[in-house]
Amino acid sequence: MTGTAVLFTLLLQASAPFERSQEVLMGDTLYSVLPLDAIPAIDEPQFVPVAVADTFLAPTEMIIGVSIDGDDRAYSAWQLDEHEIVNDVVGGVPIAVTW
Amino acid sequence: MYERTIDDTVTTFGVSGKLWRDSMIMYDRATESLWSHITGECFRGAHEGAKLAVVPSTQTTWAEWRTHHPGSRILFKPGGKGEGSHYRRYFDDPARFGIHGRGIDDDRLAGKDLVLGVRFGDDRVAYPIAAFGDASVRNDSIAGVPVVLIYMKESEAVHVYERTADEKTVHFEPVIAENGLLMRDRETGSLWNPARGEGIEGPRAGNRLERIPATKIFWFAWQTFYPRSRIGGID
Repeated sequence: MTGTAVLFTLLLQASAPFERSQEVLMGDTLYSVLPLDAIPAIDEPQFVPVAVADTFLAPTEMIIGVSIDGDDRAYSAWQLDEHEIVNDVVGGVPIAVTW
Repeated sequence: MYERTIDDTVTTFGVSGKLWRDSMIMYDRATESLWSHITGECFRGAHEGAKLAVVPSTQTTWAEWRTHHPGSRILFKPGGKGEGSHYRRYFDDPARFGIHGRGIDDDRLAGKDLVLGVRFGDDRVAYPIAAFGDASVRNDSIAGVPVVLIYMKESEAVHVYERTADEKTVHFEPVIAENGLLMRDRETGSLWNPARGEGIEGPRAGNRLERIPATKIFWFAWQTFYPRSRIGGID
């Protein structure tokens, strides 16, 4: 979602190069704004407990939370802004956290 | 949030740098197929037509999350940007929009209000997400076509469908079921699955509604892309 906003901004700022890198797919334009992985996904995420997270998260900050089989994880939205995707394993289930 | 096991094979996802139907496109590194992160559907490549299993997630504040999940683990980025980051406090600062701090031209809504955006026919409509409240099924018309708008509070997903069944316009209302939100059409009382737009019980079981692409996006981004968008009224 936020990632979309970031890409929109880049798309709007690009001019001629972007015009050349678009095609139509199923009736809608597919815009190529950046190369693959120009926005890096997190592939080996590291985690800390609540007490440590308190040192870098403000109470009002937005997080994305997931609970699978007793395994609770939280991802700060502002960190995801820079990555958009976290490849993680939660409760034994391989998941992609998307933003 | 999606499972990343496809046809019994675990893969990882990366950011493709492409935009399609108003959303960021991700790719799986095993086949480089392209997937919408909004719908979880593959629209190009070896997995075209496949759909990822959704993992229900919550969007909330750190304070609320830590109260209910004291044993939680939290993503940590060593050496990552902290205070002073370009993105830090992005959500807390209503004056900043986008990564370059681009201004906002249309102040009918606040820049960081989330909207359900629909581009259909020659109509462009933004519905403020906050207006959906708890009863998250609304009937409206876009470009003269009767539609139903759904906001799934649990998953925060949005769905829009033409509300035509058997060539007749129907009206939907929300039904809170044990396993989440369903909807019922007033005309036949049939139950529908809102995420799939499919009749599941009653005379219209098996019917399918025509999906209209919709996206959940910040107002600042939407109004820049669709400057003459109208603001949808929620009844």
